[in-house]
Amino acid sequence: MKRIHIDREACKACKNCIIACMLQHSEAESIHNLNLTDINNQARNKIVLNNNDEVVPLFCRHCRDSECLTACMSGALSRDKKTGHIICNQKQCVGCWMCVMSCSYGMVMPEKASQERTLKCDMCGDDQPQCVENCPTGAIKVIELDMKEKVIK
Amino acid sequence: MKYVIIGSSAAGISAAQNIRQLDNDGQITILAKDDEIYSRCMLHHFISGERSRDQLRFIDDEFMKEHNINWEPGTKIIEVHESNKSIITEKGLEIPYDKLLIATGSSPVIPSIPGLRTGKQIYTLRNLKDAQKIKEASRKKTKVLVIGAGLVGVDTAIGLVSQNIDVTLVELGETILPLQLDKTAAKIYEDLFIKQGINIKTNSKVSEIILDNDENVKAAIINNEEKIDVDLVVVATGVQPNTSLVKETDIKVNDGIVVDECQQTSIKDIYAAGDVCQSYEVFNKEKMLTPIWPAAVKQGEIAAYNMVGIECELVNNFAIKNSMRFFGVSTISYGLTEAPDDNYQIETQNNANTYQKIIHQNGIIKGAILMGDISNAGVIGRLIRDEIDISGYLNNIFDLTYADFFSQTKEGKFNYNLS
Repeated sequence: MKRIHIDREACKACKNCIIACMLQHSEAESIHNLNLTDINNQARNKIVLNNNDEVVPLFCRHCRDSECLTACMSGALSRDKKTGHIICNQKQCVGCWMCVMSCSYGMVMPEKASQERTLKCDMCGDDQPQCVENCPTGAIKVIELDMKEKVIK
Repeated sequence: MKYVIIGSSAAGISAAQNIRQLDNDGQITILAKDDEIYSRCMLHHFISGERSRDQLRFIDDEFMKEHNINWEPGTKIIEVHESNKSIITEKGLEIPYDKLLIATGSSPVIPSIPGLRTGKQIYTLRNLKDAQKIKEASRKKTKVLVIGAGLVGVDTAIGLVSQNIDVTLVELGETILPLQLDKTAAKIYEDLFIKQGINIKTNSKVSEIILDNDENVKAAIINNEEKIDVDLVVVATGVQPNTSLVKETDIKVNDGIVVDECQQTSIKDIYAAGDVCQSYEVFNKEKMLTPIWPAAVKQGEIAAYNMVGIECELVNNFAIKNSMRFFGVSTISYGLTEAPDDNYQIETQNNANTYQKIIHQNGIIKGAILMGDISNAGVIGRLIRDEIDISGYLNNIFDLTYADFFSQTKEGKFNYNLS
């Protein structure tokens, strides 16, 4: 399974990853006509300042022991059999927010525009995620995990 | 190996799925009272017409086939014979097991109010059949009384009012959702519900349901004084675990079937998970009922591991939490909703669209209500669950994010950095 590894200190908060995520999930053809103020263009990743005013870029882990998937009562969240990633089928989501309640990292979020469906990282299908593709400092990179060894609790 | 699972909701399905992942050859049978698989948490969306019956399913249509599960719907189990290692169906059929999981859930409690147990148009909302009956009856009836303003009662009232049905919601407590919210948050919802046409009567008790000679519901008496016309009643005053099938056994039952950290009951090879069981809850630090969906799924998974012989224990069983969304206003709450005494500090933050409250004691968060903006709620939930000391962060307690605790393994797994 592919996962995004974060090198916090290398991040300069240029927000290229955020814009890349917005563009990937928008109707806009290119960055030139991407409307950054339209709430429909919501990024699935974040760059947040911590208590020491340091920059921390955050991306969904697609956890092996995923609390969001466990919490989903509608069947909207599922683990893709091929890629191992946790995908939200927004048509099935009822916005009960049990996934939001359960994600310890705040990476499963309400869709801002509708406020009635969950939004989360989909790793851009199984291609190179656009956030990683557009990071100029190498702060994020894709690593490969062995999904066969299931973690025993 | 013969695995038998009783119940096909969150815990039962989760267990079956995990057993199949761990044991390719074992024989898995699921027996359930229900005729089909559906998410109980979505029944109110069926009443309101937002979801069709098919859209209430939380697993793929092919789930049973894909997982090679023998699925026996419409089968009620009335007895467990621990000495024979078998269970008995209502029709008298005996089914043997090597490992048994009891995931029978819970059933609504009907309080002893005159008329409530005999009236014809009295319903509860627990099963798809209940939802179908309420939906059907509400097409003809126009005045509905909902007794109990917990999550089920509120969901039902909203589902019905959206059908232009006259709904009165009666609650014994001082405010609606007394277990999930504090008074301030509850009031915000009450005002909103009233605006949407729901009649709310808090601090109120239904004293009697008045029936006609044919036991049709005619009216309700509230607080022994006020009479309101109703023709349909939905009772949502709580549930109790379905434990009757083990009453002749030595399986230990308190509020629910008592299980150990491996989800095993007091009898070997018999496990229990979900609403029916009583397990160790980390926030209250005692064995109690933990009747929320995420806990049921996790307990089913832990049971599965142990049933196939891989020992593993349930950890982080934190179930004192709720999430809700009513008329577009979202709230998540964890732990305490009110401070029990003066030894707690309370922080609140209000603006036009949000109400947030955090209760803490000696640097440990003991409760939170996050209404309006819920985007970082999960972080607060984790801090409560793990009793993480946030003394150093009290100045910006409402701005806490995972960035404040960021730490990552070389495999990119997140941990909470507590330095």
